[in-house]
Amino acid sequence: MPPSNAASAAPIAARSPLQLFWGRLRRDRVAMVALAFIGLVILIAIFAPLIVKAFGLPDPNFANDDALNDFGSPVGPSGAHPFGVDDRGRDVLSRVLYGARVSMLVAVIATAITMVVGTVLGLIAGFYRGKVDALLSRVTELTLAFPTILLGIGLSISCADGCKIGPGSASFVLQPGLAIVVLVISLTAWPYVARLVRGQVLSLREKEFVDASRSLGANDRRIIFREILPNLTAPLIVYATVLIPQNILAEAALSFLGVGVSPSTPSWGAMISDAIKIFDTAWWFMLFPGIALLLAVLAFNIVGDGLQDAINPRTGRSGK
Amino acid sequence: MSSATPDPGTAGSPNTPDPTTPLGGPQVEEASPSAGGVIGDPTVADTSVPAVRRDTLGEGDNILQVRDLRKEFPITKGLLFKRQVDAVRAVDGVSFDVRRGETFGLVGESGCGKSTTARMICRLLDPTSGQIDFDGTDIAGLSRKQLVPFRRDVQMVFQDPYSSLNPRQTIGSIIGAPLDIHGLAKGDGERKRKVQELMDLVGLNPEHYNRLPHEFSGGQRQRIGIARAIALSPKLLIADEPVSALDVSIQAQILNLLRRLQRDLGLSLLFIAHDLSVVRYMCDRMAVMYAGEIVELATSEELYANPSHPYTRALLDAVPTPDPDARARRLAERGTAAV
Repeated sequence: MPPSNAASAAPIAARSPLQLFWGRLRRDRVAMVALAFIGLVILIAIFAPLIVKAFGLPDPNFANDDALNDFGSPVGPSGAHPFGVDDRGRDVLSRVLYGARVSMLVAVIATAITMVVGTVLGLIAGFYRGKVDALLSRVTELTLAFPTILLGIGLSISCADGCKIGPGSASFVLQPGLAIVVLVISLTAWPYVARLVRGQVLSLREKEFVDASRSLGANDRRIIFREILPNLTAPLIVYATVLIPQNILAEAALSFLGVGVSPSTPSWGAMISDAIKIFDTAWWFMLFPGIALLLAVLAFNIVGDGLQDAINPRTGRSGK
Repeated sequence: MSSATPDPGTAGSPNTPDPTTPLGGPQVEEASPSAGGVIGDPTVADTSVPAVRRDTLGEGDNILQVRDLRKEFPITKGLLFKRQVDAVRAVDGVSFDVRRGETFGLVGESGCGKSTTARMICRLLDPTSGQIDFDGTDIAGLSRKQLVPFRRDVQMVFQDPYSSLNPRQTIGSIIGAPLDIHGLAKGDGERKRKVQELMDLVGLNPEHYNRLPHEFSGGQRQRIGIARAIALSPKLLIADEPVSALDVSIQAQILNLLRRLQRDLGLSLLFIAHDLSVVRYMCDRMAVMYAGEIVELATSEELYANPSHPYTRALLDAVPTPDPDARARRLAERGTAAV
């Protein structure tokens, strides 16, 4: 009990929750390896041009006819092209490295937009309930019923020459490519976040600590941001790490279908799509972007698991 | 029975720092059964036995006067256009006073409306009708903004020490929250010093300032809840079953802490419980609630010695006694069996 503790506990330094969380995450070796890999992918995405130059690789869009054999087929991995070349003689390693840029950019931007929109709408619906909740929940269900792929195909076709969005001078022109991919993913992914948050908020707002805060005189803003939102960080971080690989895959799928990024931009999904035609003769063309996609998605999923365990130590797999 | 419960003589004597409030004396004198009558409450006629009240409303130096307080929860039907078909009357015309410096007990079984009453007094629930006079102001109809200054004077200790502390906040920010909300601490240094004083006051190690609630036991958590409640130096502390979730050995520590704080800080205490031995240990006067109404109100001693309402007798008879012979004798003396 406290009085007897006072003497013995004095030399123990207080550790902040963040330190405790980091300590628990560090003990999870698989998650740390995955985290390191994600760090590597992010570094590659940022410094792709420098890395390509440092290894003396050709530019990702440089089509070298000399790299094709006499029959016009691409050659496999060699000293000059470690991952081989594609059907137009472009270096596959160079394109895989540049492909990390598209994947990371889409994953980060689309996930951030999705999380913010979903969290705000879910918080409002769950906290204020009643008519606001009824309206937002119907909008959520309507959005859930929207087919992502069809929306992407439709938008990119109808905006092939650019779509004007917004009124008057505040408008901007939506060009096919990255912007449409991000827009389509964000438009269709937020309802899952909103539902998750709404459910959590509905249960959190009935907790006695919310009553306690209210009886202390706290206003809605303080209750939402200080009492409820911190309790959402664990599910939100976990969901974001699940969403990032989903969004990487969604970008790959849209690019595979030819409605994603513009054809010359190296994207893992677009490369796999191109490789289908010559898969039986040029296996390296499909294998390397496929491995990159697989490893990136796997790493995010493992880190998501590790984060979940570190944030909720009592529900962890190891039962610490 | 006396062997099972703490010393019954404690009621009334040590917890009253204010000598101007005579607690034992006058009420016991007028406490003959003929003097107890129905106090202007039409709904009491519904019950077969009239409510017994051995003091008069409004006398003495009252910090809190509750008059004819009611709470109805509507029962609605229909999906899109909800219409009210009926209402649950959770609290049905409750009236009582809490004197300055005393501990007033509210006892009753689960679902009798005692917690609803407490939540209306600290305005976590809006009363359907009735008056809540706190220190001369009727707070029953005040808006949320108007209530802010009053929040400093009435604080609540919650029943569940697990769900009443935010698991994501450190002890320092939980106990410091009332200081932040009311702007009572300038800068982090002063806030930390004040919070650590409070932690020391309730018997927590101030070194544990940065720990999270899950690192504490139930009893320690309840101490944290108490520290948060007294941070604003309230005049009235409402304790809603503060020990019912704790081990018996820890219960006594928390009860003694509440008594010590009441004595040292001059608090008035509204103590809610279903455990009669706990209430008897803590309270000067008490009211017995049943089905949303107060059926009996008297000093603790009087109520134990001479329960008038059949429900009070049933409640007292249900208190477990370690000696079966003593229990049989007690039942025989009263000439009742548990209802």
